[in-house]
Amino acid sequence: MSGAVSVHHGAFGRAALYQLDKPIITHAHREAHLIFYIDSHKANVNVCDEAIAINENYGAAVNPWQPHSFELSNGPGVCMCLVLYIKPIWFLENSQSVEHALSFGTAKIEMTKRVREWVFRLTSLLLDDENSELFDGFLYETTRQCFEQSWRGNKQVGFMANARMHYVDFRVRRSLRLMKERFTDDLEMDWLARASGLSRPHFFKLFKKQMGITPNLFLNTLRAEQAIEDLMVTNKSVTDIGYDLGFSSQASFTRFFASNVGIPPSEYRRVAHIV
Amino acid sequence: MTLITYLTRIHFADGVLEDALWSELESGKKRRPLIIADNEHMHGDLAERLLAGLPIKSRAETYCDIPPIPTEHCARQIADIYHESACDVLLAFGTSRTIDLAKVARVAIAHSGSIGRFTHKRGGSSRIGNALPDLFAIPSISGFGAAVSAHAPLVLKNGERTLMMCKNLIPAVTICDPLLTVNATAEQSASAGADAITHCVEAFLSKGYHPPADGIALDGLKRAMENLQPVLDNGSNIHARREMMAASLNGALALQKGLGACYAISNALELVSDCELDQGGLNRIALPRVLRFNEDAVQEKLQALARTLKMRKQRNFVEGVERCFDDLPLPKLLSELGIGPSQINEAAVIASSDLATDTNPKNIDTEDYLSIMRSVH
Repeated sequence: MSGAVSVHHGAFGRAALYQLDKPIITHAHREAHLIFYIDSHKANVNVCDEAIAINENYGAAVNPWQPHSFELSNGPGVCMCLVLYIKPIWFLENSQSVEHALSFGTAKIEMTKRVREWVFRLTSLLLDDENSELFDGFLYETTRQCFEQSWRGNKQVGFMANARMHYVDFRVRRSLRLMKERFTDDLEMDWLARASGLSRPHFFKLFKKQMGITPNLFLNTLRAEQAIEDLMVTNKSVTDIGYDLGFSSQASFTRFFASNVGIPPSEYRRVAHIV
Repeated sequence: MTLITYLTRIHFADGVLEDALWSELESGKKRRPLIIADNEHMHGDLAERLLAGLPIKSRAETYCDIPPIPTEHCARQIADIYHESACDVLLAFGTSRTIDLAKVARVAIAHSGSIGRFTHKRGGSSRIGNALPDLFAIPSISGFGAAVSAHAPLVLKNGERTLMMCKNLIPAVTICDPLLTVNATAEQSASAGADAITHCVEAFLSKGYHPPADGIALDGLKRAMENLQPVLDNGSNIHARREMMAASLNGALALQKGLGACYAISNALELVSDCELDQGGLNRIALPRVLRFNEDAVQEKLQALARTLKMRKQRNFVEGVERCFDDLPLPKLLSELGIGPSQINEAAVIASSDLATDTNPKNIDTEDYLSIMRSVH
């Protein structure tokens, strides 16, 4: 079963050392994402429609809200990987950039000597599993190296792409708000489409076009985020967390969590801590 | 020796609203915001962007009845909603009047009874205390002065117009997102530009020794003069919008040093007018005349302003401002704003006792104010 060696939460977002032996289904999150191969079995990360083989030579970069999935390459095994979830606002504050876009120019990150060094430093800190004042700085440097590399030779269109996000159709915005308010209910997509002032097909089409993901994926993201928060900051049992999020049993919640986050919720609670 | 204090947390980036708001509310564990915004800001795309920045499981209350000048009555209404709904933070979204109202409401929330005893005139600044609810300010096309300043105008229940002043009134967080301005009209953009230029020029020329404010003012002026026309030519020019918002913020930060006669005139006319006046529009009318009035007392500083804009002579700076303002789609005379001679008489008296009069670079009295306002009536 997939597990975690270490998970750190902080102002930066999350950083995890995972040992994954199962795929992670297509999902998305509001953080930017970097995934690096560390040891054992190789894997593929599918970002939108691009398959990135992560290995000694390449890592993967995923922009906020980009749908992506993970699978092992070449049959069964365990992939040890470093997975970073980086809050755009944290990167912005540290980089002093005015263009608010932690948006990578390419999904394929070459493991240059410098990137590799920073990845190993971060991995060492995670393996020590102790709070370190160095963690934020290492994570920032890792992200910055990858960010700059991803735009080298590319025309920087990230900002305008990001700017367009802020002109999302008001009906889609309304649906986002409704989902945020009611994601723990058993939300019917027909109802959501109607409440947003659209027919169901038009709603799905417009939502996908403007957000890049389906409404169902967005709902899953909200549930996964809330589950992680509850696991981290409350004493609620895993069963109760699942029920509160609208799951009918602990088993269905555990399946959902493991296939979206990578590891089971009880395992996540066991290893994760706030730095 | 001078005391320089700067100031509050400011997020500034294109499209930063949602993430900054989310992050600030999350880190403060705030889940019950009370949003204060006028109807224009609480409907459509602007409102949806604001609401998208609320963390999961937040439940927001809203208050949209924004008067032209904050009133004790409205501040009390906000305090009632805040307490009844167990809110834990105020979000002021929009213009100066909204943000100023929220500042006054903080005092009403923290203290029961009349808020007249907290006014500057009655020595109430020290009574305001620091147990105020948090306020996050989100200015849009205007409102930057209110978003980083320690004062707010106020009309008490007895009709008295007065002022609150206390550093604890400064919003804890200010979020500046240039993308909030792209749908502003040409008139709104011109007014915001005139306001930014006026704040920068008056702060720079004002009495006092404040090198950071002077530097910020010069930088803001340069950005504003270079980008106001591009914004008016193309409202979707994100670069120019960003530079104009930076100029507005610079102007607001610089005005901590002090302002001058133009600000005093605008404030006074707002107080005596029967209708709602636009401060940027008032500044557009008054600043060139005030500059002519002050000219002989600030020759070196006018040369510095001219150099910043790569003009050759100080005279060119005043003329440059006149030319720039002449092209703006804003009224050119006070009479076009419905201001009559009797209101000018009244405003001249009020302006002469404004705090900004004390920092104007040249001594100015009621007669001078009358003369300036009559010349642009």
